[in-house]
Amino acid sequence: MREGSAADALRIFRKEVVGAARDRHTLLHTVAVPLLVYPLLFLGTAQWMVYRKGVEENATYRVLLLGDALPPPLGEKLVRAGGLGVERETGEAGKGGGGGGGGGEADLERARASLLRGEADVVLAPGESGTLRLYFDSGGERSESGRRRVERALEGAGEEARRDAAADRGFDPTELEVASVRREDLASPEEAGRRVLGALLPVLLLVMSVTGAFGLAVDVTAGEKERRTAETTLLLPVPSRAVFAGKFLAVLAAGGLASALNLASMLLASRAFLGGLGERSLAVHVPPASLALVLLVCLLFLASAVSLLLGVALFARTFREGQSYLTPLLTLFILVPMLAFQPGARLTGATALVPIVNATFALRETLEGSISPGPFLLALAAMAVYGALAFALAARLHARAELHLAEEALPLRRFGAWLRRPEAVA
Amino acid sequence: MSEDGAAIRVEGLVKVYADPRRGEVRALDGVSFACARGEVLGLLGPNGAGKTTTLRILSTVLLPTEGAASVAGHDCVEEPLAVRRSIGFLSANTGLYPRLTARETLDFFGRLHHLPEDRLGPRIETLLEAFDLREIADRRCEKLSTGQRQRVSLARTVVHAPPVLILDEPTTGLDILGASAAILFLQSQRAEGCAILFSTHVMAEAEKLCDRIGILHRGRILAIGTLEELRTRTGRRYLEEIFPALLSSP
Amino acid sequence: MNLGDVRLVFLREARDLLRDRRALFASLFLPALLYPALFFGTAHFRKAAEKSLENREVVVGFGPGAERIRFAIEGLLRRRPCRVLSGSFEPSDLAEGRVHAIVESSPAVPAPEAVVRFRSNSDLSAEAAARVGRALEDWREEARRTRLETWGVLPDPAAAFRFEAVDAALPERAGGALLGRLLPLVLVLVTISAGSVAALEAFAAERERGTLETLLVHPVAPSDLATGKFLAILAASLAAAVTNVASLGATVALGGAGGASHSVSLSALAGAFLLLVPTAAFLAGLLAEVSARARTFREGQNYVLPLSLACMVPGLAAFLPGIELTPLLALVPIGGTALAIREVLKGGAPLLPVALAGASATVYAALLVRRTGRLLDAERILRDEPPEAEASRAHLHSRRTLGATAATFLLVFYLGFPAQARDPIGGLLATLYGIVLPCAFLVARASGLPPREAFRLSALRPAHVLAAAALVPAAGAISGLLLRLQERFLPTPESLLREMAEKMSLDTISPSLALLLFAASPGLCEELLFRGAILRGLRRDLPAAKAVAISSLLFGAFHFEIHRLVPQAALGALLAALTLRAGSLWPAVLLHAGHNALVLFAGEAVSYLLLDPRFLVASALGAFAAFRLFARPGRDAA
Repeated sequence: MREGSAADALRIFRKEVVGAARDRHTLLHTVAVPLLVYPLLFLGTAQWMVYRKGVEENATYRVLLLGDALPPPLGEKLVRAGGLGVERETGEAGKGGGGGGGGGEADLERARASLLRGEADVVLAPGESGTLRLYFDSGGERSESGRRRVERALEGAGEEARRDAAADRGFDPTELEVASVRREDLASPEEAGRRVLGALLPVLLLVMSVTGAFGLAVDVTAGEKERRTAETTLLLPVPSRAVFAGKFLAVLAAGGLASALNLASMLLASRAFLGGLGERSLAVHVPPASLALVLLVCLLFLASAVSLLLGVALFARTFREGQSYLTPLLTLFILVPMLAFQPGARLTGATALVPIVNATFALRETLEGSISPGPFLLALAAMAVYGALAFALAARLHARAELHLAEEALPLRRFGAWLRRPEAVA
Repeated sequence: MSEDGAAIRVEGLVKVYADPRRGEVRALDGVSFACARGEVLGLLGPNGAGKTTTLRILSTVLLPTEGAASVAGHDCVEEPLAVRRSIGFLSANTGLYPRLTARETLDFFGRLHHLPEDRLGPRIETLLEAFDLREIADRRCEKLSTGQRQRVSLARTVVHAPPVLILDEPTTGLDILGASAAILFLQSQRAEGCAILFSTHVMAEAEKLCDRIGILHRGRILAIGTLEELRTRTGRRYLEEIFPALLSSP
Repeated sequence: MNLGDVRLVFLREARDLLRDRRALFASLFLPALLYPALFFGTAHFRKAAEKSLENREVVVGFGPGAERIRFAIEGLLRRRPCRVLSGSFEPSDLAEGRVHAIVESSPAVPAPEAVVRFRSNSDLSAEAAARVGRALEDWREEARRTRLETWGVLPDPAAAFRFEAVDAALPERAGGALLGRLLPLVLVLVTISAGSVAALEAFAAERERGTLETLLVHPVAPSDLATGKFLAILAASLAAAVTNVASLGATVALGGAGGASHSVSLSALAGAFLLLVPTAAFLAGLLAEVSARARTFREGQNYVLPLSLACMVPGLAAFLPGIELTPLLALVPIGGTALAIREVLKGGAPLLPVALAGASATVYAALLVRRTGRLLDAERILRDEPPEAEASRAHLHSRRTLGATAATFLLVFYLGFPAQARDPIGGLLATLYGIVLPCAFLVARASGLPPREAFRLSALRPAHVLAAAALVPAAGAISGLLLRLQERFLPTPESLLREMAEKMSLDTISPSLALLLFAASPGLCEELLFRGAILRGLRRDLPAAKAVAISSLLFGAFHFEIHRLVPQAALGALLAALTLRAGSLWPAVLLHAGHNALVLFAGEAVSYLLLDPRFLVASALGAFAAFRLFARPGRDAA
């Protein structure tokens, strides 16, 4: 780009940015929403967990003992564990458990019936060779929690029975411990915190950056046509490439701002929140250099995303039409990071070349602080190349005056044709 | 029709809006006039004079604060549906459904007027012919040019052959061809015996088309009469001069 | 109502929507196409990632003195790809990546301890630690059994408690449970997203285009127009619901979720859809209400976004584990339906709550739909005002007050929380005097009130002190009783009680400091903010009851703790009523401080007193007397 047109591009950029900044709703969405959403999200989650904890602690789960499952002295141990209401049913069921086969079927039927009717949350029946069968209902809301409590109670009761038996024979029950196992995490709270960030943030950041760019991208293309200012812009004594570059920069800035704001408020909110919880094993601290790198990755990713958005939105005549044109594209940008983001997946020579996926992994490694230099640099280079390509294509489309002036709907299928035909003098 | 044969009758119309900042706003302050069948009455005035409010009260979408208005003998407050059946209403910012074709547009609005099936079909064909829409009858309105759209809107306005037309600045935003088509249309409707009330701020249009002209300013009628009567009263020849003269005279 | 007109309007709206192919695609078919992609894609990727982690070789080293453990578990470790290095390792070897986990032995009482060191920020290290942990547990259990045998304790007494867990749910129920988690939320989302496209098209876009004015001058009752449009919105959302139910159902049935294919009963899906209809009507009514207020499509979108976020919260009820469908929850709009749909999909749904959910949703929808007839009020729609004017007419001062209050809450969260975490006492003082107090002035300024009028702290009079003193027992009774009452629905977990007791414990700080920290300072700062700036700001353009209710709810929320929401809000209402009655802030400041002091020094005693009817009668009498002191409201209003 010549020097003059760079200045022109900056002028267009400034105009678009000022226009966007004066729109109250744009400001509200980019600034207020991230500031509000994260505290609400964190506080909501924490309060929900406290609520559930209170409810579970105070709940009494009903256990139905079939036949001779846990005969009286053993059954008492279960009752003593607390929080369990134990009932016993003698009768047809619970007889044939030891032998397996038919009796087990009868127990299963009986258990299923009482679980479904809500008479019990967990059913215990005699199982193979003196053990138990624990029936639960994976579809029931209470049964899953009840099952966890009963399992703990059974394990505790088993331990207690062993200690009692040892003491009865005059041995020291503590010797039964043999050994204990302790796990010790050597990762510092900061490292553990960065791992959590690396798991939570990449998808969020990419989605937020694209949605942040979305509105302005539609506005400076289709919205401009709808307001009938497209013509004015077209007639400016400025090369069309500079006009496009200015718009591109403005939309890129909007997306970059959205990711920066989301990053900042997410970090601040999680720090405040962890502080409020008194949590010591996690700490949120990301060095400034890593944060800068995170923003760089976001911008490189945005470069191709923004060019694509601008290129497609050019075919719409109104803001609304632009929105419906871009929605599938937006979905793509949201879905691919979500799908690609799986535990254990890392940047490799291959994944570094896949668009969107490379940005997702690069962000994760940057946030975690576990960058593998080769693939990482390759990913950055690939993103830059894709960005430049997308920019060149979109700029070529923008150079076509008839796209800006179209009164009639432009069918997207002519996309290719618009791209092929020689550039018009704008 | 009321006893004196006036198709539109407006008496002592007052409309007060409650505005949060300016307090009470009197958009209309005692407006009275009448319009007979086969007559074109033009309401002339600057923006905010109360033209649109008057027309909207006549088309029953707004209720008057005081005063009475009737159209084709039906009271605008008491019998709004009867009034709406007898008027064709068109304003400058009237739009069309972008995804309906011209024919479907006429069909939809004809049905809203409860035209019987056997009359609706022929009526639509007549209108398509009259407004030169036959070629584009099955194209969606979003694909029509501005002039074509205006013709569809005009056809839509008279789909039920109303005895009274109420037009709010019908030529605003039209090019020369479009505007003259609209004027030709008005003349033909007058010839069919329609009472036509329309507002404009294009003086030449008013001079050419109107049997009588009412000058509206700040919610009051300053003067009403034929162009000749206005000329005699002010001693000026053209509306461009008559209008300021009336404003300055007490 | 003229059914022909309604039908005509409905058909036109429907045709319009069907012809907008891109919007149709985005709101109807895109979500339907997404599930297979999302489900199968996630499952595929996750399996691949897990498999690669499971089969990766981990490197394990042993610390000094852990030879015996090494000998015991080396064989067990080899069940998976694992390289056990010889030699002795230090934690630094872990940091430098030479090994993924180190096992050390430490002589602990009563039994020696095996310590597994790892780094949770590496996937392989965490995997190695998990494998080592499993091996150690197996070895330990084996050793214990051998010891029991040598003691002659045979058979193992724990065997009677050993169990095999069996899922008694039929495969349909398992599939239904999975679908029941996802579908209600998905249904709420697509109903809103498709409905909002239709609603914005039918109201906001129609107004923007100028066709609404044309419609209104036609001989059709505005209520018929609104009804036709409402039906079009409902049809659009139900159509989206059907496609999504079908797509999600097919995805789950084909095994898109978690590998195994689940059977999904068609009749259950149909039942779920039936339950959705009244709630879809309710949502359509809400959307119509909101988009009829917008002048343009874009403005309408801005209104719809918060609405859809708000509707998602109750929609989450079925997604979150552990929420049962009770008759009370069945009455919650959207939430009750979501839970009922989940139960129906699982099969064997409890009849009464499901019926209640359906019936209550129908009632809510009917109430809302009755309002839609009035939506097309020409007087409002045709008023020529800029878009903001219409919205900003109402309650300007209140909204400014609430905006400034939201900023205060954010400051407390972003600055106060970290400060209190670093230093409980200093942080609390900094929050109260550094954030809450200045923010009280900020809120007063935003509401446009001079500080003197917002705070009313000029003359302290004996009546103020008397009233505050007389009300202290009542304040204690109100918050104490509510805490006790809500325990049935909202039991407090042990850990929270302990935390609260520790925080306000008099063991670590002196009584005078405790009074300053927990009674005097909150009394002053919080009263200036809530009963000063916020209450008076809201009172500028809201009736007293509303101002009291909103300011009290905010006061409850300000404690950032769900268990304190209701008791504190009730206390706030008492303080607010007292402030308005007395025309001064002093009684509230004194009462607040007095109440906190009571809880601080006599919390236990109050909880016993609450059971004594004499105490309750005395509290009520004190409250009555206190309010009588200010018989003429606003006597000393400035």
